[in-house]
Amino acid sequence: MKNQLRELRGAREWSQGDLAARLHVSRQTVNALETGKYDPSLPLAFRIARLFKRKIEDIFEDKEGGSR
Amino acid sequence: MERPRTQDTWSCNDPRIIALALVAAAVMIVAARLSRGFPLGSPVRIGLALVQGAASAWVIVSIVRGIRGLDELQQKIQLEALAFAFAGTGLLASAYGFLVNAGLPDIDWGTLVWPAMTALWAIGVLLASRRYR
Repeated sequence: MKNQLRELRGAREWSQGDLAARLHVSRQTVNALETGKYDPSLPLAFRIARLFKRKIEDIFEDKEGGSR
Repeated sequence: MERPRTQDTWSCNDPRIIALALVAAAVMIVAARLSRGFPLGSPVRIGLALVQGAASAWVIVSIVRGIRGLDELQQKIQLEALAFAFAGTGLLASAYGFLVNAGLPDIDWGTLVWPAMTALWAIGVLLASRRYR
């Protein structure tokens, strides 16, 4: 699933490690999320949305619903 | 509220895993060596066998607790790796059983199953991790 995670992280000048620490996940997970290799669970998606103060659908692209 | 998870990446070369394995192996080896000096069925020999069982149980409990502390992707990787190790060990044992029937020498799977499963688990972690890079 495509997402804006890398852009949002870059705007705050966080490393993948910084973002991983804030989300309580491993750096590998952050990398897998950003490259679209792994889709987050709902709780993790909500944590990401709260962290960046965005809606989930503004961060993650729903292919079936069409891109925003 | 969701329980915070660690950021640990439980790779097969994690120092904690290596230390855990070495300590457990040392306990089992020392107990096995000591037990040879006592007759079969003696209380000391039974006690040392229980010590070996306790060391094995400690390893299993530590592994489960370690996996529970991982994040969701790490747990997914461990699930795939353990499934690979479980199926792979079964397949190896079955396949070698057919070869034994064909005339190859029999081997003690009781001794080999844990090392085989551990090796396949390590391979499984590497293979599963690569999918998410």
